[in-house]
Amino acid sequence: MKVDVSRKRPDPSPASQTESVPGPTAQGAAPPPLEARNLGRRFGRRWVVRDLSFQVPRGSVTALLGRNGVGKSTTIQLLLGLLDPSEGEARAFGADPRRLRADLFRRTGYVSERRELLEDQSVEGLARIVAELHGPRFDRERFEDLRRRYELDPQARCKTLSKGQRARLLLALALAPSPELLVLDEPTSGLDVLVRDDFLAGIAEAAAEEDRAVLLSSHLIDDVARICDRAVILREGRPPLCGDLEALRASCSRYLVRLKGVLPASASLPLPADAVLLERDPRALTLVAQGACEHLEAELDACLPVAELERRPATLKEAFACLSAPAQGGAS
Amino acid sequence: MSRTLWMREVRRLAPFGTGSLLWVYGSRLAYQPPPQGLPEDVFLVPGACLLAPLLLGAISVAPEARTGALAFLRRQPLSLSRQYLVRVTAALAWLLPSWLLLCADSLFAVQAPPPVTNGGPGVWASLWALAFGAGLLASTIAFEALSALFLALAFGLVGSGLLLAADVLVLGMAPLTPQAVALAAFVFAGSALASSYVAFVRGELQHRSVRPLMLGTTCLAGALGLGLLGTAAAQAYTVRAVVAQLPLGGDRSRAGGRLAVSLQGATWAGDEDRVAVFARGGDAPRVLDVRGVRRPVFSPDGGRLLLFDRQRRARWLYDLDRGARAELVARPGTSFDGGEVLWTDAGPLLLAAGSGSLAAFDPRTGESNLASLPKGMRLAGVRPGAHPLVLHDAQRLYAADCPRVPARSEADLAIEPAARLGDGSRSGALSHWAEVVLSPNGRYALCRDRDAARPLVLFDLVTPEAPPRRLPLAAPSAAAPRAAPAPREAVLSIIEDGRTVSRSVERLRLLGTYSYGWDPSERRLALESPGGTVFLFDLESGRRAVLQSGRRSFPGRALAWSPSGRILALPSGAVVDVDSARLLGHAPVYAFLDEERVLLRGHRAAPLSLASALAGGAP
Repeated sequence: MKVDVSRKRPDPSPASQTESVPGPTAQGAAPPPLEARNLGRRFGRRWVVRDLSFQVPRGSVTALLGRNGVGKSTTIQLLLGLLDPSEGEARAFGADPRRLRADLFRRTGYVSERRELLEDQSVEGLARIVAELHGPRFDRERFEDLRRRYELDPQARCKTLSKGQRARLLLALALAPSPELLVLDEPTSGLDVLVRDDFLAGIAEAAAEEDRAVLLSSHLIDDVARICDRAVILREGRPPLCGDLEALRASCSRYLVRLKGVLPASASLPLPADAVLLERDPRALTLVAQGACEHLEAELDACLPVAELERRPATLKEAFACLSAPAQGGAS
Repeated sequence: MSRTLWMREVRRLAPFGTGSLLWVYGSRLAYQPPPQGLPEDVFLVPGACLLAPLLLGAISVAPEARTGALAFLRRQPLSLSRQYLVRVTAALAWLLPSWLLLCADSLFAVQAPPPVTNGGPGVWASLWALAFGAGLLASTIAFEALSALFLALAFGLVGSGLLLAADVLVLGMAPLTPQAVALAAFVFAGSALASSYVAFVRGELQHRSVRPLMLGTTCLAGALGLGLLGTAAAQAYTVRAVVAQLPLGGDRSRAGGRLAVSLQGATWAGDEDRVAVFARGGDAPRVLDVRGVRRPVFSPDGGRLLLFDRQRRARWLYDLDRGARAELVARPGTSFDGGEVLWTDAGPLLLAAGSGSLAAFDPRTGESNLASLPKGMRLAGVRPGAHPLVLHDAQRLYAADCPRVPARSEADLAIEPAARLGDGSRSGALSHWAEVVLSPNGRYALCRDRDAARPLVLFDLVTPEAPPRRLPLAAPSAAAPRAAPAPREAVLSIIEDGRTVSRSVERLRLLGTYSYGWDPSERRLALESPGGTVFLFDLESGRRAVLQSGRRSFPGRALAWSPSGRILALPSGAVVDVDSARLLGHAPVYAFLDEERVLLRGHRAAPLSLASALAGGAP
């Protein structure tokens, strides 16, 4: 079954590139499936996540982006009540997720990064357990369709499944109860290209159904670009960015700076604060930067021996490199 | 609760549950108490048995954390409480058979004694719960099965060690038994379960944290405190509370002024072995401050009690006036475990008879003497007056003196030929295995051969030349009163006489399977046959009467006379006027502490021995 995964969904909230909490969604009084309000969590003295505020509205596919160790999985666990926040609060369907617990996971499908299963169970046995826990919401026919599509042997033991098979089994189990919210934590990491395409197609299909909200955590920008319409970018030491994916991309520009003369490899580069160096050779630099072009060009002229400056729109990958950079900036 | 998930948990635990069953069964098979040497309550085997619940607790959660099953289930619509319930009940489903295997002797074809002889199902259940709770707590805190097992062992050992040590260090109890802290074990286990639940629900299973450990430690510390309080409360039993709960047996001092009651049974604080002493007059009844003791025997003057320490197989000499106790140390090669212990009137000597020897002690100095009995001789009893020891061989009865303390030399007990008390060679009543008992004042010796269905034979020790008399136990006449079944609340309980609350008992008097009782003047002897027929023999006139025809015996109960010798209490609970052979009634029954009358009311538990007598008048 061929699925057009490049289809973009309409943005339910206005395109924004603000660091503030988005306003109420088009659903009016209906609370968003997931919401973070000044959410923070620390382990010991180290803050992993702090000042996190965003929503995952219904009918959207929201990407949770960030570099390694920036707290994507921790954020998901906070939002689902699997971790207690150190400050702020998480809301799921308008309530404290720690109180909802069983009800929350009745309405939520979750594919974890570690892809835990009941190792001693067969695919069929595991489905039977999950079906009993979900009750009538669990659609056995749908699960069987997904299982066949994902080529999972019903008698296979979970401990014998490959990484990709485990991910597909988890997705099938998550989708069978028709959840209102789908949370996917690095679902495609470690998968080969073909499996990943198939997996993404499944997610895109699920996202297109009903009024489902999807939160996808990934560091694979290509995956995000194919199926997401919104993004939350976690940044180390800086407030997260939240908004429409295209708007986030458009907020960044790529600069090719041709230099006068040759720049020694060991020479330091006094770059503007918002600029991130992508490539460097002795006669040219490739930068990506966020903000007003005129202002940045003036700053570059002031700090570098610029011979020629060429600007063009940044790709999503380049924009991510710029937007997810730590507070100090300048490092690639 | 999810049935599929529960079944999955049961299947997951199956190898460990089956192993536990085999382990417990093997422990029972392997355990054989040595004939002598190590005490029977070796803690090794019970400790080994406790590994079964400990292991099941330890593997309940930890391996699931490692494989990710715990995380998977946390993301399912299943509350943590239900998930915890699934794990605990599935483990309990495996623990129950092994507990039954340990406790229900009826399930066994093998003749293996339980590892702890006085550990009943309740005690084992509490220890089971303690071990399982410790394992579960460790399993919730640790992330791997092996570390959980080590942690569980530490929890279990430290917890039970503290609980047991508390008895000695805080309460000054002696001896120390695990059974005495059964309640504390329950509290400890409950707390371990509770703290493991808290750790399970509040603990961050994906992120290591010391918080569950702190929670668990706090809960366990509280449990230890509660356990101490519980044991301390049990220590402060009043006589009324103890008497109301425990079955009894006991001894009455020869002077009649004191009564010692052995109280044994399971209370809310665990298995209890206590001795209570009742005194005539103003002294309030009291429970002695030693635990784990039984079989009280008064000294002739009634001032001291000899107690048997069942845990240490030792003897305590308890001075009732001073409240002090001293341990009697057996000489090498001797034991206080078996044999009857007898006091002599001649001096402060105590005789322990067992395995062909006599041990004589001076309780004041602690010095002792061990004398061997001549070959083929057995001790029959001790009587007042000169030559207090009565011995017998396969043919005759003999009198002998007590061994001297301190001994000049260790030698066989000398038997003078002139000290022959009776010749049983013709009657055939005596043999090496014959059972011989003396009347209270030593006038008669009643003999029965254990190995043969021979009649009882009575020897008159005052007139040795008189031939021994056979006591015919023929079928009763039809006119004799029928033995009524014992009242539902059988024989003995609280005793009240005015303001006095006390209780009276007689020592168990059994001869083989015959119950017997001498009247106070030793003129008459009441005998109950194994069939429940009660005969009354007038030893001077030779007349015989049947007081009760039996269709049912009441083993473990004895005949008891009133001080006047007129009223006899039968093992069935019936009370008979001996002179008129008239049935006076059944319960309540009175007993006597000298001239003080005490009332014996029904007791729910079966008494160990006892009946008592009524001195005239309506009960």
